Amino acid sequence: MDEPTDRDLAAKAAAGETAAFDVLVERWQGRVFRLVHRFFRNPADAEDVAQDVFVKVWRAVGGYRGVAPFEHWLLRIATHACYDALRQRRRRSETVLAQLAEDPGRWLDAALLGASLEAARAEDARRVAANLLEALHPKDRVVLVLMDLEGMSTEDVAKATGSTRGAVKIRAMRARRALRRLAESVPRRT
Amino acid sequence: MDCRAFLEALGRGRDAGPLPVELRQHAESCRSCGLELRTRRLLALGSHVSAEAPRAGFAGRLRARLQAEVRPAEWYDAIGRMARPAFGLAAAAALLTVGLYSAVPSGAGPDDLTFLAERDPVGSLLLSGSPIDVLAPAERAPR
Repeated sequence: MDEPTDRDLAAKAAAGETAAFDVLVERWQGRVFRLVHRFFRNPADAEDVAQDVFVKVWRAVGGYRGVAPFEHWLLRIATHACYDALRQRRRRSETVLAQLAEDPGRWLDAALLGASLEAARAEDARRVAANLLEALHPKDRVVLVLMDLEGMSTEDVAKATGSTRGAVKIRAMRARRALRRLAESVPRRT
Repeated sequence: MDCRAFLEALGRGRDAGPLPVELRQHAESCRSCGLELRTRRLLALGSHVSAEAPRAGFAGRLRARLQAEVRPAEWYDAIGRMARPAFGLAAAAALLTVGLYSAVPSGAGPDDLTFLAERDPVGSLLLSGSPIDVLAPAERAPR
C-alpha cells in the first residue's frame, strides 16, 4: 500500500485526526530538529523550539492548501519560529568578546584556522562561536545557515522565509559582510 | 595553491573539521583567503549540529503538550457555546430597543406628549396620572 502523501495527512490533521498529524510529526521531526539545532546549540533548547514549530503547524494546518510542497510550508513556519526565538536571545558581539576567556579564545582562533583540536577544546571553540553568532541579526543568520550550511537555493530560501529572491540576495550579501566583520573581530592568539 | 583552488576546496566542505595542511598554509599566506576561511568556519562552528534527531519520545511529548493546550480551549469553547444564545438574545433586545427608539418621532418632547395624549388611549391615561384607570377595562377608558 502506498504511503499517504503529506497533503493527504495535512488534510486529515486539519479535520482533527491526530493520528495523521502524528505521522507528519514522525516524518518531519528530524528535518525540523536539525534545522533548529543549527541555531540553538543546546539540544534541549532546540527541542523546545522544534516543539513550538509543530504546535504552530497543528494550529495552522487547516490553512495548508497543498499548492506548494508541505516541506516549504513547514520550513516557513520553522524559520519564523527560529527567527522569533533568536530575536529574544540576541546579544552584542562586544559583550561576548569581552567575556572571552584566554583559553577558549585560543581554541576558537585555532579552530577558525582549521587546526585539529581535542574534543573538549573543539567543544569550547564551538560554544564561543555559537555565542558570537548570537550577535548577528536573526534574519542574517537564518539566511546564512539556509544558504551556506543547508545548501538551499536563493529561490528555496525565499519560499522558506516568505521573501523574494532579490530580497534574499541582498540579505545574504549584507549577512556575509556582517559575518566577515564578526570573524575579523575575533582576536588572533595563535 | 592559488586563491581559486583554495576557494573551490573550501566550498566543497561545509563542516568545520580539521583542514588539509596545504589549505591551511595558503590561508596563512593570503590575508583575503585567511579571512574567508575564518568567516566560513565561524558560521560552521557556531552552527554545529551535535545531535541528528531529537530525544526519543519527541512525538509523545508533543502530543501531551498539544492536549494540554487543547483542553483549556475546549473548556472556553463550552462556555462560548452556552453563552452564545444569551449574547444573541441580548444583541436582539438591544437592536429592538434601538429600532423602537428610532421609530418614535424625534421631534420636541411636548409634541410627542401631545401625540400620545391625543391619539393613544393608554398614553393619555398614563399622562392623566391615574394608574387605576389604566388597569380598568378598555371600554371604560375615555376615547
